[in-house]
Amino acid sequence: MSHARPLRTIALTAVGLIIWSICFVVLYAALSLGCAAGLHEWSLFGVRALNVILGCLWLVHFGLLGSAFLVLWRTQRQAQAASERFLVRLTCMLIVVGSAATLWVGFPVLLLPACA
Amino acid sequence: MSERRTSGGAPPDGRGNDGASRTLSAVARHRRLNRVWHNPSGLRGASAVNHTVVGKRFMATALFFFFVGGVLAMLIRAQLATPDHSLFGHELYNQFFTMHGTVMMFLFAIPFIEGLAMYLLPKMLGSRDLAYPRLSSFGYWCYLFGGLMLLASLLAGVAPDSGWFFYTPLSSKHYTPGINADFWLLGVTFVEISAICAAVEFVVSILTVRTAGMSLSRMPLFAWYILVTAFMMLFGFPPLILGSILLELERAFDWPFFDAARGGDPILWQHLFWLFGHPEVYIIFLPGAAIVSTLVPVFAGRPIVGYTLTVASVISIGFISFGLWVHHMYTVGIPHLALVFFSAASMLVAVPTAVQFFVWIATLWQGRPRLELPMLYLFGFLVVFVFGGLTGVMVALVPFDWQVHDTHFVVAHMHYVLVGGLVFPMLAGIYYWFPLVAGRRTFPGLGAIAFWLIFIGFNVTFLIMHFTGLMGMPRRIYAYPTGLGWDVPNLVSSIGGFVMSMGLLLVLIDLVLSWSAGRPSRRDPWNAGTLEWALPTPPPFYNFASQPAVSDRNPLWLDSSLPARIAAGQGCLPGDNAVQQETLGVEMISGRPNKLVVLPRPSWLPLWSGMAMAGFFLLVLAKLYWLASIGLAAALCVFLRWGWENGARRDPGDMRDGLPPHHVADDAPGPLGVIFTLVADATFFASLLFGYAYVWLIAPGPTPPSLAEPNLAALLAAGALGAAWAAVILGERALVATRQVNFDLFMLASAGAGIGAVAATAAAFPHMPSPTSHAYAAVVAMLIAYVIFHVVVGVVLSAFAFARRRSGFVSVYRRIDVRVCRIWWIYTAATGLVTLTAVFAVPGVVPA
Ligand code: HEM
Ligand SMILES: [Cu+2]
Repeated sequence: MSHARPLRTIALTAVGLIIWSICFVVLYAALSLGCAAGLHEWSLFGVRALNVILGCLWLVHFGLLGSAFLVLWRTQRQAQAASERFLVRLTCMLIVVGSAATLWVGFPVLLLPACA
Repeated sequence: MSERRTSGGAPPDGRGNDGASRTLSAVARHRRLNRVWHNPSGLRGASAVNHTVVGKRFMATALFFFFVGGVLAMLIRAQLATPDHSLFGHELYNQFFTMHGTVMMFLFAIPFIEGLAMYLLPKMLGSRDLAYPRLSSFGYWCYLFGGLMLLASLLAGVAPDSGWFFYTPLSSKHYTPGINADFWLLGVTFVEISAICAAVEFVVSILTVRTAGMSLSRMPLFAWYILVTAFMMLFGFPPLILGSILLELERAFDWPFFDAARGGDPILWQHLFWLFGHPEVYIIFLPGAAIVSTLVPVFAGRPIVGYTLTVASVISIGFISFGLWVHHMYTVGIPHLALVFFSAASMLVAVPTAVQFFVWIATLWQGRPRLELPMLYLFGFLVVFVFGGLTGVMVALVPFDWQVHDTHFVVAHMHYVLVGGLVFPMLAGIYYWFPLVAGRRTFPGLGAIAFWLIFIGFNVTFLIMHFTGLMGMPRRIYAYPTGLGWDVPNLVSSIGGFVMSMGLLLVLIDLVLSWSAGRPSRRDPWNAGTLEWALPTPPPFYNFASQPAVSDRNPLWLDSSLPARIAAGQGCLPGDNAVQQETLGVEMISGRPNKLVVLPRPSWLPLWSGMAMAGFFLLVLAKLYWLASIGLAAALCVFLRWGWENGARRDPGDMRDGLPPHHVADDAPGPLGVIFTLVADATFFASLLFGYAYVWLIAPGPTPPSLAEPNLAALLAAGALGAAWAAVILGERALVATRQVNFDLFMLASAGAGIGAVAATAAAFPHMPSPTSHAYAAVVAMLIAYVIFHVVVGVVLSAFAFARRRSGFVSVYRRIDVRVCRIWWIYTAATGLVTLTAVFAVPGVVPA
């Protein structure tokens, strides 16, 4: 929690949701472009290729969410003032929300055919 | 969770005002501050920029438009009351429902919220004004003139008639040849400018202009809601502005962005519109919820339960509501899996909304609720909005939506959400803050009767309408045959609508009567905890005689003597020897004061620039494009004049109260505002890139005729942009190293590089097909125009910084102009390079 760049600190409280937004855009874009390019007609070991790609893209975001949490965990000890501890709590809550949202919005890529 | 701790004691930094000046009496202090902060009245009052004045203007104008929208609603209901009934024909009916929706959404809901926030924020945050009073005032004139433009079209009988979401091809030249649609596209864009101004104003003011000790964690929840809402406006409005510009270009110059025969796609309009349109619903609801979260603790008599949780859920709503837009497009044929993403997000957003309901209920549960008039309206809100949420979950389910799409079921759902989410909280807020604004109480009996009329009338109108919709009655029809079972429900709906209008009129009568004849109100009649109630009623222009140092979220509950101490000048910046309008600027997170924000006197510049913009829009409407560009140039001149008035020619000598004036501070409001304006601009740019990819890769129809070939001129353009970028950075370094001459040279170099970039870009398209031939060519032309516009403004800013340095406004300490110039150039160069890459390099790599 550095005070040198307060604007960045404030923006990063929403890091969990920012990652969710990126995941959402990436999945939607990859799906639209993949369908436009006809990728759904290929298959890898009997699994639809586009779904595999989407699934991998989806998983990457959990990695990002996890690292965001680790960074928060390491820096939270420096938070002294009440206002800083408040921001730490807020950031943490929003990472949890972001993870749940990423899970909820993305899991259909494992179940449904991509371009039907 | 409240942060109750020992009371404030000495203000931080020992910044009480000791010595001789404390001898002023409260009355003398008031006189002195009033003289410094005085705003003219009467006709000259048009130059006023004070947030209290401008906020009230916004609210009054918005209520006027609420009245207009209501009259239109009554006309609609009168027409539909009986089958085959023709008070007027379909042309007028189309205009009426389109204008009803447009007026309610763009001219009533959003501006009312802006006005309320403008009026309240400084008072709640313990400051004396917003960060950019003249910007608010400019926004007001844009809103007023844009609104009048739309109103004029209605009176002239040529109002927009393509529905409030303005789908193409219905709204394109072929099907709407008249001027009607142009009124909408230009008028709404004009009004949006004011929304962007307000959003920048709110973000910067909430982050940096508060009172001492008001850390982010002690901010009233109202400010958090408005902060999130303002960010949503920065991200939500640009797609609509872009869509409107593209559609106007298509209508005026035949650039075929939405014409499927020439490689465009009407679905692109739907994406751009709903990218704005769904967040818009939450932009309207969150301020309503802000009012609820402010009132519930007051009437429960205890701090809110779960402050951090509420903030987290508000931020979550802000994000998630941008992932829903496609749920308005379930019926256009999008891959199932994509529909599932959006359907999932649509259900997800219900969770943080529900969390807020639990917070409110828990707060009421734990406290001792008092049933006063505002609470009655909040009760109406709870019932109506929850019901609207339930039908919302129903239409979020794809198969159900296929059934009721475009029927009166959707009209009913929408009004439960909008009236529940905004109108009821707004009325609660009006009754709650009326004593503050007017210094008088309303007549409680009248308000209660009005409530029951509105509540019952509303439900009679719209509950029935769900069934009318399920019986298959489409929305937007001007007449229907008898015998389909629609007659009785429609008649009942119409009667309910008139009952509701009676109630709303009664509110109006109540307010007008109370304004002059109400019982005078004492200070803080509801025993509230937030700072606006520490003010005398009605509040003076300067708000606080001295700015209180706060140590709690509810300073008035902690210390009931606070109002007296504020008036006695015991806070920060007591006005005892005030000579200019000033308020504290704080560190964003901790709320520690770190600068003195010096505020402008009343000014005519906002009105002049608003008029220049109005001239521009009217001339475009009249298709007099050459004259219109003169209007734009006039606006630019006024803006430059405005920029010239800021700042100072000397470095500050001794700093008053140990605080530097804002124009030498590191986090000065000016550059921050530019950054947030560019956030909106970047959203515009991203939407344009989305349109580019869409037209190129997704749209059906003929493939693009010929793509731009990489060439030397394009490379030179990229180089020139890079050079301008480097020049402004080196220029600022030279300034810091006090090498003024080098600074001047670097500024000139950046301007020169900019001119070179424009020339090279123009030369980079030797074989570009005409923009009318294909949507792809049109989008590329639009991208290039975007870059050139930004480069031209950059050249002007470089010249401006050069001139300001020569005139002594710029020094090592006073660098605002230079920082603005640098931020602008970095943005311009970055977007320019992205554009050149997208247009010249990407098509070679990715086969279409
Ligand atoms: C005063 C009570 C109101 C009544 C009786 C009313 C009535 C109606 C009716 C009957 C329609 C459907 C017209 C049709 O499809 O043929 C409609 C549409 C609409 N209303 Fe209202 N309304 C009221 C208040 C509001 C408010 C407060 C808002 C927003 C804040 C609003 C926003 C809209 C919108 C956006 C539409 C859609 C217009 C379109 O189809 O293009 N209304 N209203
Ligand atoms: Cu929606």
